[in-house]
Amino acid sequence: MARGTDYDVVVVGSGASGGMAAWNLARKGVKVLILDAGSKFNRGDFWTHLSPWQERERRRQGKRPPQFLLSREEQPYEWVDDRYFDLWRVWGIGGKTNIWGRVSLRYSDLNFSEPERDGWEVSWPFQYKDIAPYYDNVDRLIGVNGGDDDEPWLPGSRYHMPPPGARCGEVLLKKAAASAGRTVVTGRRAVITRDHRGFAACHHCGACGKGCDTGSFFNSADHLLPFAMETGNLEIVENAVVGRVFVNDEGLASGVQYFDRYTGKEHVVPAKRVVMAASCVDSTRILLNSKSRQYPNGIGNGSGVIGNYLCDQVRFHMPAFAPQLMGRATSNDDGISGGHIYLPRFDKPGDKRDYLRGYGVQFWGGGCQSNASFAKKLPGFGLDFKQSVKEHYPALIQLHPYGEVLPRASNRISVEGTPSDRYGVPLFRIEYDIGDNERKMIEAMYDTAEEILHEMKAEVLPYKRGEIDKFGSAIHEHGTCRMGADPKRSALNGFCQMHEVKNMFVVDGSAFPTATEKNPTLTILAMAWRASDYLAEQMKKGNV
Amino acid sequence: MLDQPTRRQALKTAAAATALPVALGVQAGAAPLVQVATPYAPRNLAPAEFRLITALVDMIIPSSETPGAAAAGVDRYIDEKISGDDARKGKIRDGLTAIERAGFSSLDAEKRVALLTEFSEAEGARGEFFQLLKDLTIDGYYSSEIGLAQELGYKGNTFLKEFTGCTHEEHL
Repeated sequence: MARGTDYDVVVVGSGASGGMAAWNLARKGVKVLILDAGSKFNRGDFWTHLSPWQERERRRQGKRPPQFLLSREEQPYEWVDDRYFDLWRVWGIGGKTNIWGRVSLRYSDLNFSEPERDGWEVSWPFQYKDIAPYYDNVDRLIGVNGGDDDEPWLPGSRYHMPPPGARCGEVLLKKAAASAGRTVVTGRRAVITRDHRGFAACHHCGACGKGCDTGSFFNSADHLLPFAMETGNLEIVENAVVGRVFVNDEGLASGVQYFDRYTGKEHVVPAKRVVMAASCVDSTRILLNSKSRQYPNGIGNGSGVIGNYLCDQVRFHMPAFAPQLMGRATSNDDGISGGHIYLPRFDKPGDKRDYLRGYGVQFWGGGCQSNASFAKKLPGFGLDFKQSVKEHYPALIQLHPYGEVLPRASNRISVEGTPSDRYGVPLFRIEYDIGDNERKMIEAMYDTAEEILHEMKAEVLPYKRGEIDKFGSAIHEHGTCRMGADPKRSALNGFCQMHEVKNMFVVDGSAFPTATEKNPTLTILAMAWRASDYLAEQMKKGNV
Repeated sequence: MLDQPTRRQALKTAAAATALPVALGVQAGAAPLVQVATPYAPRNLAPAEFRLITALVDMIIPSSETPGAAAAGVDRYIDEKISGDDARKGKIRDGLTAIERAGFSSLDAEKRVALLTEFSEAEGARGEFFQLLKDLTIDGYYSSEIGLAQELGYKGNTFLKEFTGCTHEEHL
């Protein structure tokens, strides 16, 4: 496709949601332009297979691995007082799928309709049966490994690849949880454990966080975009930092303004349809900055909900040691990096609890890691200390509960009164806090973690009940451009189409009405696939 | 405050570094016949401070059947790690001054342990200094080949076709 031809759809962002929308549209013959704020991270440059000491030596030589995270120096943002929100942003092809945790959990009807049951904010405008075929599609396309379990809060899949075996500590955790009355299931991760679509199966080096040099976990940059390019229907402009979406007299999106990330040169690309997929906070910033006569509060924001209801998850990290594993011979415990098991949410509708919503528990990796930072919390120094670290090292287990944060209007992203960035586009401010509901839930999360570790007679490192990770650490921002049945209380319909602007779609995590207790990427992929199916259909019918 | 590197010392070190290859008959541009290990010249600490760090990290993680923190280059790791972080650098240097004022260098091994124990149990600046030094020592030692591979027996970051997981009868 020659540069500058008429595009049917302009997609902003190339991560999970943008990559999916672009791939699905391109293969249907739709001409797509992707604007991404960064460039491709070269797999050959990753430091995947360096030991910690080799890495240190390279750094001494002044070398650096690819820098995935956008720095706050380049793109600052504001927060309120001591309520810092640690926002992880990746400006680059593939977005956060370059470094994501790969946990791939289906949401259930219990999640989708929970606001209806407990009366807090709005329910999802679709049901499990609507999205289930897309979950199936996504599992098959990207390759998700997992078990054959099927839980009320975690619907099963017929398309899982074989999962990796559970590590010693995970086997013991599973047993302890069962004694405490909790069902731990096999983890579900978007790591291919069999060769798949031209990509080699995972080789279990455990270094996924540094980027996978064999492309063995789902990354939009490798698993979607090259396939979309092959259709001849996709063009990508790299380092295109989108500022605003312009509208025509009819109030429809008509163009997208972007700036070259490095030269600052402004461009405007005409757009017949726009799909926003720049991640929750960045998409929301663009929408709020897209002010016009028709949309003084930002495009499609007549309801005033855009920017509000920011929600994610509270979590904490509890390392402990399995007594059965203390001082054992070491083994290679890398696996697919991170947890191979998962404890799904287990409460039942109607249970008496003093908080709304709930939590699930991840376990991250355990056993022999490539560091021993747990040792900082072991007492003393000297020979005894050194011996103690060695004994604890193979016995490490880790509990990592994630609890849903309620959507609240007061948790929000705004662009009013903020300074502008180097391109003259207003920056955003994040106002965020948790409330009593979360604090009560955090108590319950600690109870569950303690129950399991007590069953195990595990040694737990010193901790303070109630403490949680920094706001934003879950990296699961949602809710600031939510979908819903009621246009007065939501910005999008169930197909991610703006109620007010028919040729605008928002397909990233900002569309989620609730955060749920689960990791969102699988649902983002399924939702973006479904939304882009709908968009292609509406285009065919001439409706948009 | 401990002694700062003086111009005289710096010149001496530089002279030694250039003199050695000449003494060994190495031609400029030719591959050296003998690898000469030049002693590490600290960039963020004075020589006396660096010597103190070397002694302290080796007390936190001493050599046993495997080498300790000094042999693993943790002193150099810390000198590099505090670069560009004035708050941390200040904490380390103030702590070193405090422990030296308490007579550390003139004490025998047993009394040094007693003094460091005192620091490790102290509230406030002394305790914070010890914890920072311990944290940095742990990071440096257990990310070195000596600490992670030799001492702990790390076997990861390699190619495994299948990951079978736990196969121990007693765990299942």
